[in-house]
Amino acid sequence: MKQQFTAICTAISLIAGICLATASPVVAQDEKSLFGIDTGSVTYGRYFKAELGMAVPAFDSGNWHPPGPSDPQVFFDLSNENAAYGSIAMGYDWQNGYRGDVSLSMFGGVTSQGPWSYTVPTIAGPHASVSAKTSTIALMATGYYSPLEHKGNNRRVQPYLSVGVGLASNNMGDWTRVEPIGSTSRAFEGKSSIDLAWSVGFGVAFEKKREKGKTPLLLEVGYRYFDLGTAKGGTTPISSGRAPIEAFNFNNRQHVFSIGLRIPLEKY
Amino acid sequence: MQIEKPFRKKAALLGVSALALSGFFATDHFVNQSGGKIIGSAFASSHSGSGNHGGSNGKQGSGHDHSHDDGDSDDHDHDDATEDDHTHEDSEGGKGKGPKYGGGTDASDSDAKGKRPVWAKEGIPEIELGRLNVARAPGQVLDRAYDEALSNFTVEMAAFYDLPLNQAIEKLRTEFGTLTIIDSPLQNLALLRDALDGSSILNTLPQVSNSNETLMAIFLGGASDKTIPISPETAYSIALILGFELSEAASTALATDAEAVRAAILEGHG
Repeated sequence: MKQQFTAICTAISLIAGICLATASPVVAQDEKSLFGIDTGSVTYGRYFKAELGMAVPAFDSGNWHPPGPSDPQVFFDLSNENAAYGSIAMGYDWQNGYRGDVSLSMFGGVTSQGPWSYTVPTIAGPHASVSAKTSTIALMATGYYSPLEHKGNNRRVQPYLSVGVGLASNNMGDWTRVEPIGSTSRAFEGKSSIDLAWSVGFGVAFEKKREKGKTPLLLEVGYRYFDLGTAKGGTTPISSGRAPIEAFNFNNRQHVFSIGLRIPLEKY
Repeated sequence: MQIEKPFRKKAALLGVSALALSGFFATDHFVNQSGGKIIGSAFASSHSGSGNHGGSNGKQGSGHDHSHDDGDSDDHDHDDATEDDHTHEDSEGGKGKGPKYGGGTDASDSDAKGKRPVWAKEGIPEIELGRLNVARAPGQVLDRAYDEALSNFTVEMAAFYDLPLNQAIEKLRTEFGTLTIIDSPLQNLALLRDALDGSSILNTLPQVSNSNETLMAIFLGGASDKTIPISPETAYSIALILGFELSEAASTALATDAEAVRAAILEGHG
C-alpha cells in the first residue's frame, strides 16, 4: 500500500512538473501582451484526446461458490498490482464550459490474488485462496464541466469535473483456486463479460500558449474513479474437477490517474 | 484576466443555448456551409440559430431582434434613411449606442437610420464568403478569439496597426513575410465586431492612434480569403452577421479599403 502511494505521488509530481513547465513558457518582454492579459485560445469544435496513466485497482467483493452443495460462498481478501491505463477519445468542445467525448479506454491486466476472508454462510476455514488476471476495455461517453470557463473565464488553466457512462468488457483469464492444505491448485477457464460502467472524476486542463498559426494544445491531468461492473471467470474446469456453482468474480473498480493531450481539430 | 466589454457577461449567458445547437448541428463549423456562401433564407436560419452573435458583442441592446432576417421587414424606413445621407453624426441616431461608422447601424435597433443597401431589402445577397463564414461562430467563441487577439497583441503588432491605410497596405504588399499581424480570421472578425460600434479597443493603447475605418478595413481584409474579393455585399453581410447593419455607403467604403488590404496581402504573400 505504501509502495502504491509512493508510486502515485511520484507520478502526480512528474505530471504536474511537466504541465507547469509546458503551461508557463518564458515570454520575452517584447512578446508580452500590451493589454496585459493571458488567455486561452479558441478550442471550439471537435477534438482528439489521448491519455496515459496508472490504474489503481480497488477490486472488492471477490468471491466464488465452490461446487459442493454444502459449500459456502467464499469471499477473498484480494490484493492487486497497479496497471497501465490508456485511452483515446473523440469529442466536441462547446467552449461554454461544457464538452463531451466518446472514449475507448484500456485497463491493463491486473493479477489479483488473495486468501479467503469470510464465507456466507459462516463456515470455519481454512478455505481455498484464488488468483486471476483481468484486463478491461471500456467504451464510455463522458461529459466535462469547467466551472470557470462556464462563468466566462478564458484563462489557460481550467479545472473540470467529469461524469461518464458506458460499457466495459471485463476479460478474466484462466483463474486458479489453491487449496490451503497441500497447495493443490485447480484451474478454470477465463471469460469475457460486458457490463455497464460509469465514472466520475476531476482534473485540470492546461492550455499551452498557442504559437501563431498553430493548433492549440491542451494538457490534462486528471483523476477518475471507474466502476467497470463485474469481472467474472468461467465455470469450466481446465483439467479436472467439477464446475463451481459460481465462478470467481469481483466488482471491478479502479482509480485512474492520468495525463492526457487534447488536440482541437479545428483551427481558427 | 479578461477584457470586460459592455454586456459581455449577459452575452455569454445568451450564448449557451445557441452554442449547444450550433455545436451539434453545424458540423462544418461555420465554414463551407451553403457551399461557402450565404444565401437569403439560408443566412436567415443560420443567423437566427445563433442569435447571440450580435448580442454577444454586447454593444447592442438586444442581439436577438434582428428584423432584417427576412429581408422584407418594414422596420427600416427608407425615407427616413435617405435623410441621413450617411453622415457620421446622423448615423448615431441620437441613442448613444448607434453606429459611428459612416451610417452603419446596430442591427438590433429598429429605429436605426442610415440608408440600407438596395440588396438588403431582398435579404442577404448570394456571395462567396469563404473563411469569413467563421463570423457565424457563437458569441462566446468570438469573445474568446477577441481575448486571444488582445492576449497576443505585442508592441510589434501595435506598430503596424498604427499605420495609415496606405502605409499599412504598402507594408503588407512588400514586407508581408516579416510583419507581425493578426492573421486568424476569427480574431480579425472579433476585432472587427469590436470596432463596428465606432471605436476599436486598439485605439485605447498609447501605441495605436489610428482611424477606426482603417482598423476595420485591416481586420476585414485580414480575415478574408486572400483570393476572394471583398465586395460591398461582403462587408454588409459580415457586419450584419456580427450584429451591425451598415449603410450602402458604409459598406462600400469598408469594402473598398478592405479589398485593398486583401489584395496587398495576396501580393505580399505571393
